[in-house]
Amino acid sequence: MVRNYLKAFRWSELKKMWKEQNQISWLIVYMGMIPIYSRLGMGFANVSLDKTESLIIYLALVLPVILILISAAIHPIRLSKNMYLCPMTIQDRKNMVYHGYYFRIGLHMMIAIAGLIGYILLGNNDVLLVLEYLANSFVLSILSPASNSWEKEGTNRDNKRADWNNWQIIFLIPATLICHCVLAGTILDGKDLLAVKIGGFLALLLIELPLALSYRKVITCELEAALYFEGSSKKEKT
Amino acid sequence: MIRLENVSKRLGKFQLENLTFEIPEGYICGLVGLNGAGKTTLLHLILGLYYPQEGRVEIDGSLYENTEKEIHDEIGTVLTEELFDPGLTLMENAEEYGRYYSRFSRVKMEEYLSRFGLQPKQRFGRLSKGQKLKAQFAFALSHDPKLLILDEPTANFDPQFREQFLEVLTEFMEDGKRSVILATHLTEDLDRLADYLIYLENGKQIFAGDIESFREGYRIVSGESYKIRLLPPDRILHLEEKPYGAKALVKHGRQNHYDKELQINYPTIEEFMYFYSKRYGKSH
Repeated sequence: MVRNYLKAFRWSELKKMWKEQNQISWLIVYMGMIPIYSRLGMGFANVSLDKTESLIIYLALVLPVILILISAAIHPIRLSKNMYLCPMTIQDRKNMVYHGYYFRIGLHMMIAIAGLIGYILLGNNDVLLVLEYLANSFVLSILSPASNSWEKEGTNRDNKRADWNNWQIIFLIPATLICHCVLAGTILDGKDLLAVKIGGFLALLLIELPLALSYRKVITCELEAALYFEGSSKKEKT
Repeated sequence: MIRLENVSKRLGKFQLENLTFEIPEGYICGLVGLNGAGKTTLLHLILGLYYPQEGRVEIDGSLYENTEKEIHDEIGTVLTEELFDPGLTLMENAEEYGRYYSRFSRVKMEEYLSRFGLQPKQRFGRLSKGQKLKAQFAFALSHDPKLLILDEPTANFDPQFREQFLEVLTEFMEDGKRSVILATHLTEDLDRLADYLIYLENGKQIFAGDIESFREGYRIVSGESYKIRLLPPDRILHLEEKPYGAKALVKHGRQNHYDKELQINYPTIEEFMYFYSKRYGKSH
């Protein structure tokens, strides 16, 4: 699983994924928003990034999110074609697809936890802030790219797809990134900003959680579709 | 044995319609047709990658819905796409995918690689197109399949390896219990090897049967144009007139007779495809 995860970062694989215009173009749009959200976060917490130490710690908190987004974009749920030719039961393939997806979520969370090093370095121990930070990271960790190769293979799949221009994603990613940048700014500030904590909690409960639950159905469709080369085992009507 | 019964499959605007044939065990089946005829789609149906919208696909009496693992364990595949991981060596790739096959043999893989002029430690991504196909062919053979499915492998082989490839196929068929389906544009290879022929055109099955039936059913008639035109018009599929003479593809029956001055030959697969595609005034 680790090898399969790491191979997506190879230059040959990145070139292939570059052709998947769907998620790459949207990834660029979403990541392009991070500097704007960072300014928002810094303004909220009244913190400046002029100092090198602040900048480093801020990057330590925000870079994991960028890595998670990129990782989500370059790791399709769908297996390679050869795996659909190898002797496997549907249950074997289901284990492979689901375990691969859960492994990726786990790895993303480890990246997010590593980013908390900056928080620890500041000597803070605000559990609520940490939980909100981890919750935001988890929401991003579950993202999955759509794959244009469904069309290329000529499949007749017409169930829901995890496109990055799904309405859930269009709201979910910016909401999560804003919260994350504001949290990062708050952590840097070091003061106990109750308003930020409450705001972050409300955003999590009222915006991110409902969107994530709605997106979960889309992901489930994508996972089930990945069990079959064609995206479905059903005979469509002619 | 591979059996398709009234199989139809739609992919976007393209449709495979009502395919019905039965390839017996121990046969080499040639799958021919112009570009876009549906050869790869048909192979994907036989491989269980696509599900038919109508009809059924049986491999040795089994359906993919129930016994996918068992069926795939018996099939070796070489497709036009690169199925191996470019970042791994040939042997690493073989072990990565070979562990799913019950009869995969590392020793056999090494033997075939050596025979094909490849090294186990070569990285797959650094090979030429022809070498990649050879590597995938070696892997397909290394797990002792009962059925080999090859989608236009010979196009990128050098002439020397093409001979070796045909030898390997002949060896593969020696026990009489294995089968090969070979989709190819190089029909002279099929003229030598094939026992069964499937010809597709625009998603439709034009011919599917043993090669003897194909050969007995048609003739290439050469000679004076006016003598050829004396044949019943419904038998002449296409007549081509050249300055030096005429040539026609005609349907043949046992009772048919021809003018003594006409030259009558069995059609090669290429001639059949060429003339058949030009009936009703159609061209390539």
